[in-house]
Amino acid sequence: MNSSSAFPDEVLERVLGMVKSRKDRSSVSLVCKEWYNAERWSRKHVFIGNCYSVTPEILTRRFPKIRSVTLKGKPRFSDFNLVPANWGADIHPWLVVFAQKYPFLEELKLKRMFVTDESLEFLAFSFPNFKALSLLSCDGFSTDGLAAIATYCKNLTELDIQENGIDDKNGNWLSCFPESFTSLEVLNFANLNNDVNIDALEKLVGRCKSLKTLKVNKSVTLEQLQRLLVRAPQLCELGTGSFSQELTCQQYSELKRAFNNCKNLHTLSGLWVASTQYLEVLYPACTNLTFLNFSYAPLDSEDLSKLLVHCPNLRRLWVVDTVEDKGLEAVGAYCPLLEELRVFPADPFDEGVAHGVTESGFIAVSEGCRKLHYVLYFCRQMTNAAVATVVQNCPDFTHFRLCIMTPGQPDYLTDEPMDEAFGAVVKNCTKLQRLAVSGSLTDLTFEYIGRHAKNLETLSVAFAGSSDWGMQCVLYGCPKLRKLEIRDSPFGNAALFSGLGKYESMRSLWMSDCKVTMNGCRFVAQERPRLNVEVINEEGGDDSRAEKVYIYRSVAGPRRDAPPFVLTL
Amino acid sequence: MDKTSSSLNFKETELRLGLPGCESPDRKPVTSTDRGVSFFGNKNLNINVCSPLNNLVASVGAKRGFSNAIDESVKKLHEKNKQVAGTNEDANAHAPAAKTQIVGWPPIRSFRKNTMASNLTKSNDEAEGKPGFECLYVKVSMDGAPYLRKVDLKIYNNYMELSSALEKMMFADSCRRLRIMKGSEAIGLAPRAMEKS
Repeated sequence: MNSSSAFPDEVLERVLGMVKSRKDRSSVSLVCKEWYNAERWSRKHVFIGNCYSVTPEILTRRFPKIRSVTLKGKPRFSDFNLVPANWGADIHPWLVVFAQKYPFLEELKLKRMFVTDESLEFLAFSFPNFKALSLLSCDGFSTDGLAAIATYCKNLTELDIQENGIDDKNGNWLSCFPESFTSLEVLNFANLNNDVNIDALEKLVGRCKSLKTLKVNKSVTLEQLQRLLVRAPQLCELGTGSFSQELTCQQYSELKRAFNNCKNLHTLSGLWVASTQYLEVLYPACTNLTFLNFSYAPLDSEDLSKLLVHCPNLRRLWVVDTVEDKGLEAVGAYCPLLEELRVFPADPFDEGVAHGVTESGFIAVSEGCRKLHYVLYFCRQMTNAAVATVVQNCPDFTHFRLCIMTPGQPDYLTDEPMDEAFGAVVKNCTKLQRLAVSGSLTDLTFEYIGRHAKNLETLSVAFAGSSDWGMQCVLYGCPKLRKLEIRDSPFGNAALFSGLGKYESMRSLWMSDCKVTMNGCRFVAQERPRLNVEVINEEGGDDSRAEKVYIYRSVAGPRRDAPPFVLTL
Repeated sequence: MDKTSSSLNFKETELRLGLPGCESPDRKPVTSTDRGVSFFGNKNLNINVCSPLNNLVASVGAKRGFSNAIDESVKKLHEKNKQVAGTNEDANAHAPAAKTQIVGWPPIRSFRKNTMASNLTKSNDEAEGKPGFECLYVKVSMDGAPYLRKVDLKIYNNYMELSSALEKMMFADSCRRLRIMKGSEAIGLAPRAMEKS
């Protein structure tokens, strides 16, 4: 087909503009030059999984019409203090370029980026159409930065502040929304601690008629919550404050009525410290719930069971392990449509007490919830047999993240490694995209992964494996692998070199406290100039050991903003 | 590494939690350059009082983050084995010594760790589960409170438990809110040194 019989550009752009999926857009851009151009001109949203893989200049040159940017910065293990402070991922240089090239920018979603108050102010002033800000696992800013956003972003529809390393000075930022401001649709400040002016919040909620998501923090009392609900019965997502105030009978019935009137709620979160007697007020609102996030609410099994009876349509459930196995039995019994379960530990460092969930809770959920495809499970004991049962019941897992909390712990019944458990996972779950392994694991686990996990994209490894062979199996065997993060495992240079043919097709590799040496890293850097090979050696000591290695593909070349402790080889 | 308990000078090691603007007369002021008092091995742990009424800042002088330093310190308290150079050797051995705490493990965001710790309503009464350890008593005084409290640091597994226990012991009536946070989270809240506001 020659270009004269093809669609006019405008039509092509129009059609391709309807393609939303990232992968599809990538494919589209590879078809031919016309399609590449049509795609780049029609693209409104861009996702950058590693902020150092590209520069803002390169980005803006290729995609001139972007309205929405998602950026991820630091390696994931930075969430667990494995990356020193001041590592990088500063949003500011991006904002400076965007201010010039994307003056109509509307949306910014940041994860693990370094964001200062100055940057937030700059954002507020530079983009008059700015609508949606979402910050997850970021750090460097304070509530002053939020105040700037609230004050100056006249068209703001979304302010979503999730778990961040924020300097939580006070709640004044909320009072900065002008009285004329009415456009808010999403407000999430659940993870901030300070009191906000409840009067200002009430008025804000009252005048923002399109508000669909409201997640308040634990300083908001039940009484105050009732007043908010009365002003926003249209809410679809609600994060409550603390559920533990002393209420009079009248207040109680008013609260119950308020929840009764929320007919559109599909997501509920919060609770924080919940008194059993008040959980009842939630029941009327539970029928249409699809997502229950109680991951900051240490409920017991009884409270959870009584609530879940009313939640037959639940698809996603996040809980704390205070619900114990009995609570999980209730999940299996009452929530047949469940697709995602996350169980967080209440007290991850308390090893003296046998609380939490075990393999039997896991099995119970799998028996009742056959559609389960996403699990994150923190536990103190597990068996190979139990995991095998779980994946037999639920073969559709796409995300399987099992964290046995004591490193290197074997099957507690047989004392064997947990190899067969993960073997069962990868054999049964052919759609598996993400896997996190734990417990005592030999190279056999990785043999299984390499042999069977053909759709695996993300793998997390800690305190596992016996030799280089393990990592080699994964690198040779998993064609779709994009992210590999490994800590405290006996993989060295031979393993590292096995991936030389692969790293450019991956987003990144992280290896910390393994057996890789500086010379090994230098070799990789030499052989693959299109990779950035960065080493962090914090403490002095052995020069030849590479404590923390971060390797990623990039068209941006080596970082120019690397701090002194990051060596680019 | 010698146990600090035997060499404690109680005056020197008093954990002072005071109201803003007041300075204990018989204590030298702690500045950010001071090493301060170290309860936990050789790590530098400065406890300062800051101006805002509702916040107590514990700033840590250690090179790593707060939770890292405490992880290491608790490890030193609990470990029966000889001191190891770092957590890495433990980890590479695959079966670390009993009850050690490893940096960044389990993999939970600091935010969640801190929030859950302060949400725990049940107090940890596992003192009986730890036989054979010496006690590590320190005296805690709050300016304005009539009594000192003696606290056995060894019955607390982490700094969060200690702070909740102290909170219950002392501040129910007189203090509206106590918050202990790591230094990096306290940026902008208060000067690290004890100054008159």
